[in-house]
Amino acid sequence: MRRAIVATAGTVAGLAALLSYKSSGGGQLQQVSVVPAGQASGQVAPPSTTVPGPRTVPPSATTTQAAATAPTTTVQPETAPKPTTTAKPATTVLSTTTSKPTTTVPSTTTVPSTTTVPSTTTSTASVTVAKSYTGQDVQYFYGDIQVAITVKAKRVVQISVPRNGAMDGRSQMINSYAVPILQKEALAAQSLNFDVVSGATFTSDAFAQSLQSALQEAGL
Amino acid sequence: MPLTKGEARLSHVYRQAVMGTVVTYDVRTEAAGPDVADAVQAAMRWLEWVDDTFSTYKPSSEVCRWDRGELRTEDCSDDMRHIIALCHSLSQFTDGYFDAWAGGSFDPSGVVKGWSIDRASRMLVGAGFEDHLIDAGGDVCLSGAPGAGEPWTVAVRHPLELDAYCAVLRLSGGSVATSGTYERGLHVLDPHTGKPAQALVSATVVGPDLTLADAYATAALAMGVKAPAWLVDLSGYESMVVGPDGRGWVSPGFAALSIPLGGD
Repeated sequence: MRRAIVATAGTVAGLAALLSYKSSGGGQLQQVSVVPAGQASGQVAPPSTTVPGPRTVPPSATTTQAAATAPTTTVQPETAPKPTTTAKPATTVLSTTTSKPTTTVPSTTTVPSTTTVPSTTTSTASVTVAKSYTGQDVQYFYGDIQVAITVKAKRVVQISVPRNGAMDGRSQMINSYAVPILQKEALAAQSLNFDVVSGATFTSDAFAQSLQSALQEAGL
Repeated sequence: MPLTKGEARLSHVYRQAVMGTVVTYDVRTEAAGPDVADAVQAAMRWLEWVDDTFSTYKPSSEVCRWDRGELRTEDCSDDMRHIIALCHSLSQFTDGYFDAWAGGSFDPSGVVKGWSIDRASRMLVGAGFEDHLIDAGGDVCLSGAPGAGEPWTVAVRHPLELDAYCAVLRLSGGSVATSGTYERGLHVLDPHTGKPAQALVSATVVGPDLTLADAYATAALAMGVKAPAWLVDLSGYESMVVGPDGRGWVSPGFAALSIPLGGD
């Protein structure tokens, strides 16, 4: 299933075009640009209602930012232990092998799913009864694994992994999905501008350097 | 909706080569340029001090002197002792997958970058510039908002496709760290096998502190196939991992931070 990119989402200050990396040669205060936010993209702000509510999600981000004045006291992982007995939303799905429609599309609202179920079927699932099948427990490189499928109307609507030895023995669904590949041009065409890119930049730097040297080598 | 007068903000962008990467400051404010420059310059000086103190490439750095045994722990700076303690606790917390001693000598750069950027961000807030982002080579610390009532928009680079992205996040603060095997070659080792971790090509962690997000992303990469089971239990941090086959896993809360983009 491919959902259309939300065309109205995200036109916050399109500085990306201005942020092309160039090696800064050690200048102490190298100012790159001062532009009005949003001017670079020429876009107007979108209605915020079209975007899932990110403001609420990093719950302690603002308090951390505001309250933290001494780093020596702010980062203490040992005081934030893993809630090993709580909050494992994906796992509840797997223990069920029933045919209740609600179990067939368990997490599509929160996690992109591997399945090809159109989203409309979630509301009409009661029409056709889904049935689950569990495969054999199979040894593989990382341990043992057992795969279950849910079939509805002769179509596989869900694949899950009720048993995966590599997952520390815990019943852990692998919500594996095909990661979208969003080309810059496609994002721009959808007015999806962004402020910054998270990722390993060295590849692109190295790529740019290599490209540059190749261009020079070619006399271009 | 067009920007009204009160919403217009200038974006002041500065760049600094430090800690082996390029740090970009993007301050959104209506304040005068020189005031912004002063604040950014103070943050830059801080990062230069961090680089001098924690660089494993500078034999005279405090971290090198401590690692060689020339400096007792109790004689180290407060920041150095904090980093040492942080590396210990992170190693414990990540079941050993974050290991500052993995290479045989002490290399805390996996936490120093995030930690120093977190503090640089707080310095900007303290100087009156709440609305800014700091991008340290793809690890991003966000503060405030880019414009009135707007969240920041962060694209996550696709680990397998040059010049493409695999997620777009909308965040009102916090941080995004991405660690990838594509970053500097196979630089992340599984401390339990001593071999490069290859089951994942990238791990992205979103959460309040860049210090921890960065360390968690590094640890997740080393965990490989075990990463989702570990990441899903983290409180306050959402994540996304991608394998070499282009298939990924996201934590249950990650989608709520993302602009829906679909995917086959």
